[in-house]
Amino acid sequence: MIASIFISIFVIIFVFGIIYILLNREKYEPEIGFLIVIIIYFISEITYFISFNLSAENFFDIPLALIIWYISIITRNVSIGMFASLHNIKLNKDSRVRFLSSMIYIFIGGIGLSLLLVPDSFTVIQREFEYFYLFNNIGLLTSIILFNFCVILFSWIIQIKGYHNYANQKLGKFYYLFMFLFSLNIFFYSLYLITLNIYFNLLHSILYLISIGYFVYIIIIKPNLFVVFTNKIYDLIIFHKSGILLYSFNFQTREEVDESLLKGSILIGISHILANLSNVEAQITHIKMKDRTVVFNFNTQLGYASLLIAKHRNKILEKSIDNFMNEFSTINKDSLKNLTGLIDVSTFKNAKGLINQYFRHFFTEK
Amino acid sequence: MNYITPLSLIIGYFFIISLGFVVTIHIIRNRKNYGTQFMGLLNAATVFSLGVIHATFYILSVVFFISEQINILFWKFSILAWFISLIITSLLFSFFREYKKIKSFPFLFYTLFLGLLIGALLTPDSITLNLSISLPLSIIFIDPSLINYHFNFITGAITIVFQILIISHYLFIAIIINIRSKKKEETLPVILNAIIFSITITLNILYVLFQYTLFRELFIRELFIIILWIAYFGVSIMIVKKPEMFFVLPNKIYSINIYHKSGILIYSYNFGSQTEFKTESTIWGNILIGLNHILSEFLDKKDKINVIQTKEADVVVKYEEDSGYALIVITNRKNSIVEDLMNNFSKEFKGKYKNELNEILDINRIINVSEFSDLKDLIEKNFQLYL
Repeated sequence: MIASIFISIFVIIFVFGIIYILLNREKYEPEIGFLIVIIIYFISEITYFISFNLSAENFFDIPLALIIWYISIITRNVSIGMFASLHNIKLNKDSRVRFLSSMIYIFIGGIGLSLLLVPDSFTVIQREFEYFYLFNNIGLLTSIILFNFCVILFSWIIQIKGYHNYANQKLGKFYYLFMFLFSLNIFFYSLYLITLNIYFNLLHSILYLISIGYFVYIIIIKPNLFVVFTNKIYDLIIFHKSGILLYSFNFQTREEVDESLLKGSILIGISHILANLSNVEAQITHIKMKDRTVVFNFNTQLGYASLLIAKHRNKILEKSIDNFMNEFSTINKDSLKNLTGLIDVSTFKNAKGLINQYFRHFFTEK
Repeated sequence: MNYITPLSLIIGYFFIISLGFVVTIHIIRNRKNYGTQFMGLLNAATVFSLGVIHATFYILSVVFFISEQINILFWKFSILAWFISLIITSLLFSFFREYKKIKSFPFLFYTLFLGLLIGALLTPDSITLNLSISLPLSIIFIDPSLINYHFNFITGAITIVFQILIISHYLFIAIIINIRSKKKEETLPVILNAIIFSITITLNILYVLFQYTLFRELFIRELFIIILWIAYFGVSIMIVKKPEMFFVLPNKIYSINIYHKSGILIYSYNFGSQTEFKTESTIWGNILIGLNHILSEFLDKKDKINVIQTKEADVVVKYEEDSGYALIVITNRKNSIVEDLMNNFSKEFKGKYKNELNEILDINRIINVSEFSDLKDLIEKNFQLYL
């Protein structure tokens, strides 16, 4: 009965989330690899929660219930391991050991998986209308508890250390709350496995539903979540081969930068680069600095280039720049070709509309 | 009882363990010769785990009978040491391909298999001992053919699949290096290594696979350890004699340029024919100044350019603001080996040309680049491995 209620609420949250995302899919543009990982993660979450609740129901015979219980343990480890790995890797982007926490999860998960294959790892106890699973294999229980402990410990360390890496602080705060709920539900799950106390089971399931509901809520109100988890754009500058600055936009203030505000050194710099443009165009792709990356894009036919200053370079960003450049070239083709004599750069103000169109995900909170 | 085989193994073991200790100490003491300290330590870890840990547990479990539990425990430790050695060797192979640019996917798999193996070894009856003589009452020196270990299905499957993955990975990397390398003869040691290690690993797979069949009688296990130790001897000699092989293979330097802060090219040195990456040295100075002018307006002044990535090469930049010059190394891939060499070179350069550099700190002074014409020796001394 309780299982049915939990599963129903869970299905409602998920169906609502999926329908919302499908209806508003143009707002979500994650990398394809990331999207696949997220889909696998959600599938394992769904499988876990349904199998965890169903395994307690005594309308299944014991062997079948035991299989469902095994499925719930495996998918639980997969789902929390995946979530923690994604969180840790994304937040720890610049670290030399960014994969270390994931490797530890995989290592302990591997030990647990092997131990799960030992026959008679559980004794099934029937109390009233529910099954409970008592661990006979202490090694297995230890590995699961150790796995949960490592997930919580490393995730909190990385969350606190990497808080400044979030694209905006509001998103960071959202994650703090989610991490709190995530840790609590893992904690109660571990307590339930050790004690088999029904109240820990209930607390775990309720917190689980709240966490999933909250996660769906974050996805709905922050559609750029998958794009700008830690990435940020600072400036976009477009200049012509003659040395003229065509357009400049600051993503922090979300305002165009007036040409007169740009200092002479920029013009000196541009002239230096443009003097060598024919050599550079085929070669420079981007420049890495200590905390930022400068992405270059040249259009040799129309004789202009764009320079984008961001935190990291990634495929989403490159795709946005390519789309922007193509569109900018199309709508300003004639102006760029006839750029002689007295030049009116206000013609290129139309770039702002393109920025809103192609870089909207990168507008961070003011 | 036949004592020739156990005695030969014991003699071989003492030779290998001595070699293991000597080579490990040699690598640790000369770790800087291996490019970076990390590479040196990885080499030392491989040599130590294979030559000392694996060899010791292997000998203790097949040449001596102590008790059933202890022998099984030693055998399990030898399998664990073997797994760890293979993973570290695989990491080294990946560095051959491209330093510090390892694909994480195979290593995540290996970590999973290591976890699975440990879990399997922790379960009772994962490995059982089959003794062909009656159970001795005390510790005895035994003919290895009389002592056999049986893997249960899960442990056997994990061991076999893991080793098949490792062989595929070794061979794949060796083939990729050979295809990409322009000097095929340089890649020969890597290919040979991969083939010999693959044969050794295959023998181990066969031992697990044929444990319940008559093939077990073919001394597969003994053949495995003999070939492994021969390969180990060869690799140890190579590691000691040619430490540079580990970082020169995947890494190339095309040219080194030194620019004054005004953008004037002080010195330029090209490695080889430089056919792979052609760009005039003078251009990079101008580009660098231009970029710095632009970026100084948009970024924090302290945030200087570290590396300019192009489609064909990485242009690594090291600023020496106090001495008023920038050192630019054009390489196929920026890594800490190149950075270390740049730091050492820059330090020596500053020391040797202190007066000349102080004189041209004033941007209005005329720069006489001929004062730096004998820089060739200093560059060749510091970057000799790339010549």
